[in-house]
Amino acid sequence: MELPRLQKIWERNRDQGFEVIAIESSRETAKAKKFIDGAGLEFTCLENGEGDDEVVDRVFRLQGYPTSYVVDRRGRVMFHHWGWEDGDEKKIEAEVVSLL
Amino acid sequence: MRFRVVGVLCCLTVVWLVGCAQGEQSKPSAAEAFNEMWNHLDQIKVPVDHVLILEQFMADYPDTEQAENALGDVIYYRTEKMDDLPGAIAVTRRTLDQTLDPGLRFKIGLRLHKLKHKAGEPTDLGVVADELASHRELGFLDHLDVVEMSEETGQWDIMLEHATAMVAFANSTSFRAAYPDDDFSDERVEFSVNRRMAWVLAYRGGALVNLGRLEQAEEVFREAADIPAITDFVGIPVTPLDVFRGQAAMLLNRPDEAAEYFAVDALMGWRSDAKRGLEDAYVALNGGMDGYDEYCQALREQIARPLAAVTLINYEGLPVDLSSRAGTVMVISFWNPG
Repeated sequence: MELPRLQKIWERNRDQGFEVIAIESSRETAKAKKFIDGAGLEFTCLENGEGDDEVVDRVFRLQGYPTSYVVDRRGRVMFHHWGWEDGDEKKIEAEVVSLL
Repeated sequence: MRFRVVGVLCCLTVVWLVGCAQGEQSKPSAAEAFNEMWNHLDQIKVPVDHVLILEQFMADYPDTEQAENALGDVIYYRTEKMDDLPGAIAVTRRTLDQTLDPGLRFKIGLRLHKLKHKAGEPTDLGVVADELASHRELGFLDHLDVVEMSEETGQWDIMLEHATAMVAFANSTSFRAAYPDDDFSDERVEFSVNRRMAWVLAYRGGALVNLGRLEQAEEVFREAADIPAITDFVGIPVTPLDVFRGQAAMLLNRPDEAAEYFAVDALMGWRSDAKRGLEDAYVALNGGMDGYDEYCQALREQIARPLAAVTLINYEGLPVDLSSRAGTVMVISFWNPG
């Protein structure tokens, strides 16, 4: 699971202007809250909207889960990850550090 | 850890025995048992323990959709975590022998084909498709399954045959007929039909490229240019059209054009053939890999898109505007709790 690993990356880099934002796509609020609490996630966690406010399908048109964007200080999506394999956390952290 | 595995096995066995004692009515459905098993699997980290539980489930619930799903995980663990390709092939073959449902046999047959290809054993994807066709007419998604597998295993004639068969399904009548209970808007249908046609043309063109029929491939690609580009937010195409176009451009000795086609898939996507293609194009243009990292960085600057200005609600009920975070580096992670 990627989010607990992102928590570690966030803890190591938060002082340098780094944030993690998790967007739960399916609006399974109770399950999501339970997971967030259980995993001790402290970064910003948001829920997908519904109806006209739905964004995951309508705006981002994701091709699979999990998907992560690494965004630079100018607000541009510089890296994109789909899926999660052992070792991806190192790759993502290297990308984050290259942008800090 | 072992306690958990034994616990789950005991649990499955007890459920089974109780079911037998009380008659078939009491046996949990495959879906219920699968969900129960899945909750326990979440806690288990040792691959061989995963496999034990999954294979026990498959033995208890043969010829079910859930058993086929479990097989997918068994294959993953045996091949990726346990380095046991022969074991994966044996389990898949045994599962196929125990399965009667034609649709499930088709899916398992595709899995077996891929594994045998990986092991260097002779295998014929056409036989898998023909078996399903002897029971019912193949639909769009069946053809797409065959086409995607043919791409993975390099069976270009079969890719061409099935991509061509998909044309008959790339229209609004066929799309609506496939989803009779849904009342899709015209806009949604048009989008879906375009997406189907994009798949058709991508794979027809790709098959022709790989069969060395480049002029015909170029004709197909020209036709594809009339379809609106279908990409996700960061610009990654939903079909492999651009990768095949890039391969054709390389074969036609046009590496600059090829690099343009490969760029987004290579730098933002997950296709290893696009990454290789971009490297090959760069070497063809520059005579080596010197400066490749800087080249990729410059390309990335060109293709990077600004994050969408959307506002979502956090779990305290407060709005958060993603675009208001300028000045920070962010990871945006999309997830679901499953």
